[in-house]
Amino acid sequence: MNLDDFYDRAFSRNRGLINEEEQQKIKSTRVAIPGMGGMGGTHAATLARTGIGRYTVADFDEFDVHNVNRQYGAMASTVGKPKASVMAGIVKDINPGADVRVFDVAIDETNVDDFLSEADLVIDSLDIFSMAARRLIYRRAKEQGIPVLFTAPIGFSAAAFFFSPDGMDCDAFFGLNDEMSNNELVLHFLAGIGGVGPHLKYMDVTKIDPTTGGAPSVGMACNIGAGMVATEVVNWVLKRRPVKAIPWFIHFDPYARYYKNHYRWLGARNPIQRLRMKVLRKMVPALSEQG
Amino acid sequence: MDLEHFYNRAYSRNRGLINEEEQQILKNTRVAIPGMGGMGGTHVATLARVGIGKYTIADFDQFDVHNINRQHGAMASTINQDKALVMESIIKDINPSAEIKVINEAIGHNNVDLFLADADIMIDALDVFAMDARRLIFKRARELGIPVISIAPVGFSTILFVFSPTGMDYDSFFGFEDGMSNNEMVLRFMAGIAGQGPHLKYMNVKGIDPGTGSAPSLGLACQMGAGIVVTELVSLVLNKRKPKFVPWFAQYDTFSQSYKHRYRWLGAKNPLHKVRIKMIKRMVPALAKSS
Repeated sequence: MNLDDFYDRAFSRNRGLINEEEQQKIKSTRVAIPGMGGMGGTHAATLARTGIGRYTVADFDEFDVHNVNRQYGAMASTVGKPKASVMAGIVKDINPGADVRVFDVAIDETNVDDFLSEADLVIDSLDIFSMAARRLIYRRAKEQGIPVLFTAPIGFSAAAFFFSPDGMDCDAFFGLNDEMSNNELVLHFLAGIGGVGPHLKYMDVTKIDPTTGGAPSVGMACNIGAGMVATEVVNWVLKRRPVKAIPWFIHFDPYARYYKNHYRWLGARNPIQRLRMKVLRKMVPALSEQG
Repeated sequence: MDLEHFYNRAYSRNRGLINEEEQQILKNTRVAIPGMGGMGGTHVATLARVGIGKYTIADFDQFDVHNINRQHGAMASTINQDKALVMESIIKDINPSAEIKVINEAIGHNNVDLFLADADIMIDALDVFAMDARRLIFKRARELGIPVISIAPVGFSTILFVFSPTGMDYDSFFGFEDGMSNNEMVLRFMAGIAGQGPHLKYMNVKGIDPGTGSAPSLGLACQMGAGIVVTELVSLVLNKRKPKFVPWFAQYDTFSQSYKHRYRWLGAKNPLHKVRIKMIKRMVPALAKSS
């Protein structure tokens, strides 16, 4: 069976939801995914099963045992191996015709344009604590007119964010600026993604530690986040319905049985959001220390 | 690193959501999953990542190319291999200390008790069209006091059903009776799962064919469904919150951006639901033929 025939058969059961012409559009789409951890790996695998044909994936890290609880590529057999290469292998095994570009290094000023080249959209899957790389990628993507999707596993829930190149940007939504320390950036980012919602009732946020990069997270929430994002990718490529872009965001919690389409007027300048920042500062002692 | 040490490190990042004592309960829980296809394969991989220690899995089938769009174990490298054996090795690779019973054949009267032996909970992941096996397994599970979680990927949505051994049973909820044709049961099953909801606006159900066993389905919905089911399973096993058993059910749709809990009073005897069954009969021509 040649690669085209394999592709057509592999994704034939999408019919009824995605027609043949639409499937070809999905096949020719390139997604750039920085970070092949809990979210990034699950995104790449889920998109591969939808039939996305082109990928640019990046991660400088190797799999470790403590990644196993949530990262798609983390297994006893892959511990110690580079995350990006392992995930490229999995994507290729699902869709052998996929074109996968691999960056086994961190993304910075020197390679960000190469990383984003020909990308139709970016799915931010960086570590919560990698704020410098995150801000750089969002800024360059916006300049090049590329939308950025982001989803965060928060407790048993996931929240999804769609940054349109002509809408409110990452810095404005999260209230980030060049003068902030990394801890301060992380604090604003966390308040922006998880400052509101039912997880605050059941999640122990004192376990968040920016020095080790450790925060509680479970694999189930990564699954849900990947499903939400893949739906937004398909919708964006096929232009089926209007996107709820930032400052809209979506939060689903199957544990609390909660779902909400949020609108955060003014982004980080929203008066209630400012109050949340203060509360979070008290709740996560490790983050409020200067560092 | 010995197996116990590996387990403790692998699931260390669950802390803050699942404490050490709860983790040990999950390690000692046996989950029985019939069907290693789109839902079943994704369920077991997700269960393995939360640290479930004991599995009983069953499937008589082998992976084929057209499974790739949604089945966790289906890859170019696993085509023609036994689904149950492939998934066994994936679970083992995630959690090397997992104890897995594999039944590499269809579940029938001769092996249903073996399949359910020692199970604390079951997740139904059988093919939509496998009506006889499903009824048999649900009946025995109820007799043995085993709760059953079931989720259906429907378009860009998933619909969750949790059956308590002391609540409304499977036959009453879907309206099954002995002597019904398989097509009639499939029809009632589909009406029971998907007879109402936002997916009816965007999904083309005309292509559903019980003869070939094909219905439209997406990997992203399976991914999300597994996240929802495993959250439910963890909550049930750890007694974390009050479950909502059938006739309650819940649908989350990422395309229509909605989440709803419904209560179907009287199950299949609900007067409105009887109308739905008639409606589905008209919508899916292949099911209306008696066979």
